[in-house]
Amino acid sequence: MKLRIWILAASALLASCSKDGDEKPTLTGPPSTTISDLQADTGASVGDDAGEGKEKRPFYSLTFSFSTKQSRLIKTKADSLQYLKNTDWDIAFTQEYNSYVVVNNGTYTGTPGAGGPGKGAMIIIEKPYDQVTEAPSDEDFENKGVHGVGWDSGNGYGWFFYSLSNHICVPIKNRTFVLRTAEGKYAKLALLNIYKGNPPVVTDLFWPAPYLTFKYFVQTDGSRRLNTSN
Amino acid sequence: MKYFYSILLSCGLFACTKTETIAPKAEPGNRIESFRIVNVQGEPLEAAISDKENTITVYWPFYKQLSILEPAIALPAGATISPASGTLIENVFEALRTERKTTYTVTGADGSRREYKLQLKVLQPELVLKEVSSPDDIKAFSINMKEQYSSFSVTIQGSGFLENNDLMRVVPVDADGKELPPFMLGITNLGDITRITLHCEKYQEPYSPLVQALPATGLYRLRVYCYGRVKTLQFPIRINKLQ
Amino acid sequence: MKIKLTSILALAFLMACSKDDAPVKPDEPAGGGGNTVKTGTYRVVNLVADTSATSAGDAVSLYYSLEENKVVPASQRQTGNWDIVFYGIYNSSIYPNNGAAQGSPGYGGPGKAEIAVIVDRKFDVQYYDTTNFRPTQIPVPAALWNEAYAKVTQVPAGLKFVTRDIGLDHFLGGFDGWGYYDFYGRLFPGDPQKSHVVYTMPRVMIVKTHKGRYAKLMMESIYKDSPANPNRTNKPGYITFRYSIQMDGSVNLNIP
Repeated sequence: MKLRIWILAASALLASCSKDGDEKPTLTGPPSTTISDLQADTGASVGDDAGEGKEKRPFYSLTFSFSTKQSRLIKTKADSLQYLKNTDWDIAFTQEYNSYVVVNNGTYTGTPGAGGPGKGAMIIIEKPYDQVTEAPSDEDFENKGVHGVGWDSGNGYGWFFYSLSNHICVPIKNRTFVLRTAEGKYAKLALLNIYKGNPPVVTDLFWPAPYLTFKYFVQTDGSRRLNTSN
Repeated sequence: MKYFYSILLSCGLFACTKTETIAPKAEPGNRIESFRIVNVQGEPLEAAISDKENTITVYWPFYKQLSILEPAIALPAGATISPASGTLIENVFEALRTERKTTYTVTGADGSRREYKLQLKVLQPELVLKEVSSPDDIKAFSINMKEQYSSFSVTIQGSGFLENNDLMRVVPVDADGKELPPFMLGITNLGDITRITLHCEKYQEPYSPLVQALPATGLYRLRVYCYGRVKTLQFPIRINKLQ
Repeated sequence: MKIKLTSILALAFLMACSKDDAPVKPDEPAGGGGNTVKTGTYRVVNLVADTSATSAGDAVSLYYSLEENKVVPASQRQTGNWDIVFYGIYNSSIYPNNGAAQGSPGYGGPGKAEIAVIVDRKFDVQYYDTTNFRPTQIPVPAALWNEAYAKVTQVPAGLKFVTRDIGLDHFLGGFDGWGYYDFYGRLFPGDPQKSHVVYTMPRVMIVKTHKGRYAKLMMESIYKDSPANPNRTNKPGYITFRYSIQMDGSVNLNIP
């Protein structure tokens, strides 16, 4: 008996030692949700030669709900009237290439949620996703918040660089967005890619887009805790 | 009696120790009092002056990523210096890369001269590079001059790279040790300080200096200049230029 | 008596020893040149930024000193010799020279400049859809430029200055800017010459220069000879703007 227990204890001890002496701290918490290749408005085009199946017209906004994972393309005026002024969505992918990501807030003029009941907010944190473990104060949201993020001209207020010399959207690494969802819960979001298949490097400007890949976590208990296991 | 002792004491003091007032050795009129770099946020950077070695050493941490230095120089009364205080030290990266020599000449009020050598010391972590080729696998890349557009890319992984491409430069070094013109540095992995991507492309004339300098074929070791550090890969790559 | 003498002598010795000649104050850095302009209004016409600029590339940056009304070489971006830079796509991002602002061309240098754009929605409705953030008529009536500029007689109280750029209005972002970038020519559907055009709007910006003086500034065009209704055949890379600088350090911008 004693020997067996000893062996078990010893193996447990060995197992708990990290194999390669890696000092990376283990992340604890609930898991994040990763959405891969969410198809946005792939029917629209910005170029003059629209290509197969594409129309040269403004991009339809795509709304997304963190809780239900439902997304919806807002195509017509009727769609706008029916589907936007509510808290059924948390973020919307808008404008050219659906690249301007905005929150659902009734006071944000010019965004899909304007005039509705949404309480969404967004703040930019210059830290990798797994190092963001707590949402900042309401005061910070007030003073440093943005309505959304899109093209970063170099000023730090976006989620991708875009150079007109190669027409490629390059996602910015190690930047996380802390949000209030439409209903006011705290969440963190990493925007990862706009190209189909989430390739690490894109050199072909005709690579299929927009197919959004992103990762997020919502703290449903109402607290500011945002630590996750991945 | 009291007075006798005090007199004795004071006489003794004066008698045994001859107090000579020796003026301190006059500071040379041709020295630099201070050399400060002022084009920074917060406190200026104070350089170390050595009158023994006649050097001015500017130390600064790499993350300030300074591309130019603006010195404010203090001198003793009546002295002058050339180059004058405020004269910009341009292109710091080139100065570090080429070990550019800059001399400051101070002329004292009495006409005496002293020359100081400027030393730039950026405090920067090691540059570590992962080999692209191995002894039994020499990677080959080609540019085809017959095609309208031809290019190739090489990615070097490692650590110690900077986020600012203007402060890095990668050149091929041929078998004779001669450096060819630099590669273009990729911008699709900006901010990724664990890799740099080198591009070489041939499109419209005028072709890049590198494309023009390449012979039909050759083995080249890649040399990475990263601000104040430089390292050359041990194993070469082959670059072919097909005409 | 003798003791007193000793003390006096000792004191005198000590005083003689103390070094009294403080170092000469360092010269003012010579970089700026020192030829500052007088308080007044200056118009800069067809300033050549990067005439190889097309929508297919980031233009060469143009560093400008408002205090001396001149271009400053890009190699001096980490000095206090310039106040604003016309940067990025079509030189449309106007950054103030601020060395503490990450992402700014002046980052790491000593710059303390700041910038703000005055948003006057009551004025804007004359030419602009304030809900969807785009002009309602092109060309924007020319008179509105002088009107908007003349309205600003001092730095507005409580104006929020920033260290980031003022650039393209609400372009894939949430910030007010000085120019509307019609990416796909939405204002003129069906006309391929009207895509990728930047329409300047009559928006007044306030710059706090590196040395702390105030100036009001308004962009007029990024195209050669400032066409009222530009299209893709017009040459970008020529910046026309006007500014009025107050050299006395006050917020008074009532400058003829």
